[in-house]
Amino acid sequence: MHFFKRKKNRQQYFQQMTMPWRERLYNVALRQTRTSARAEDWVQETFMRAWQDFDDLADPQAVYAWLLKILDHVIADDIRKEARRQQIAPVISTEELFLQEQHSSYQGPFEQLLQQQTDQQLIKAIQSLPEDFGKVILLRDIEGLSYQELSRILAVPEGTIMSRLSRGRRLLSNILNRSDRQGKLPQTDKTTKGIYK
Amino acid sequence: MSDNRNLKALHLEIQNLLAGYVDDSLSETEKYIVEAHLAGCLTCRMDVERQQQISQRLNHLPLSRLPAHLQQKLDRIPEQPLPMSGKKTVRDHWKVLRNGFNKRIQIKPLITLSGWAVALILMLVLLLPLKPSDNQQTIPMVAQVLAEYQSAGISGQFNLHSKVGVNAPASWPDARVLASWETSIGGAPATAYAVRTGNHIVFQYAVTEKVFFRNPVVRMKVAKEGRYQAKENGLMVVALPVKKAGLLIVGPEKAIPEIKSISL
Repeated sequence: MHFFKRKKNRQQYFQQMTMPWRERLYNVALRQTRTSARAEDWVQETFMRAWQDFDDLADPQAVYAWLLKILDHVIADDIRKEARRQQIAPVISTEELFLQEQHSSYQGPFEQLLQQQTDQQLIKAIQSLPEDFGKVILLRDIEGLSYQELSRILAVPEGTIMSRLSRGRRLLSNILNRSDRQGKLPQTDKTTKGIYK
Repeated sequence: MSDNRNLKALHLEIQNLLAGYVDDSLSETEKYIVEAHLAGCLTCRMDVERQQQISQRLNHLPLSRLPAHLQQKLDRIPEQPLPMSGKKTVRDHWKVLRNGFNKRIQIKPLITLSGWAVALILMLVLLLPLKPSDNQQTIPMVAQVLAEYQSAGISGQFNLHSKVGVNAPASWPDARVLASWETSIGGAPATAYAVRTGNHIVFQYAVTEKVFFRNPVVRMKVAKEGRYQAKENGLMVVALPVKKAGLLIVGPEKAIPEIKSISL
């Protein structure tokens, strides 16, 4: 009898803690893939793992960061599985150099260009970024998490978060400028550059 | 010429801090340095402005509604006795076992647990003799540069004299190139550089892209973290991708510079 009561309490507590974050988590997942079905799978798997490991939640105040960390692992696992399925080894680009050296040649007002982009176009541009850069932009600029939270979620130092964010935003502005000139977003290697189909 | 290089390096370093400046997440000192640089750098000023605009624009993206069917699926998750019932962990078995003892022993979980225990013992028996050998043993290029470094130390090749006019692929504040020579790493031509840093000598190896990315462990690490590194007996190897090539830095762990201080 006591067991059932405790189980019931756990269920209620879990729902109470996680339910407010469902929609935001779904949006974070949705912005990392092009298919809503895949985002739904990720979210479902995230909540299943959260339910299983609910006792490990150390700080109830940080439940959203905890859920995001689980989601990040879920996505990474899924990508790894897919890469194995496709037997594609990651391709390394000289992106670092590209990012350091390239500057936008766009001469018009950037703000105007930015406002002209639809929300969907912006999301697509973020999705076309390398995974590490897209993720920090997503979690910082859209989700509004602090560098400290990002550092905990992604398990990298805050300095790395800052440099990825700097490079990611710079690359994003280059992509938007290019798309403005060419009328379309650049196609990237989906397997290695962070767009999850 | 050297001043220009220093300015360029500073500019690149400061570019990495601009997000922190935009988000007001820099220390006072960093902020002061960035502002001093911004005063004279139009590129970085424009970058800051764009970063601010991007951040503001993205901050206002609307949320998509959670689909009703997903809502229902999520509602049902806590009703499941075990979310991953097909994949029980050792902890789950321990819980079952503990409950089993409380309610008189249940045989089935005990049998399953004993299976786990046997598997664990077998794993330990198999792994113990191996000791925690780092995975560089399986990466030929890493093992090779470690061996070359060690043999150079033994054979006294560290008595090198300053070589003027040679630049190593990577530089950092107190690095001074002493010598360079042609060698072969991973079966392909490579150039080696002996660099003095403080009281130590480290070697740099410029290897071909093909050799550098040959090992999947290195590929994965570099893809995820931008570098691969391994340690063995107080020595360290850092593998960094450079344009159309790879760079291996090998030397005593304490002599290997921090990544952020390395200019490529």
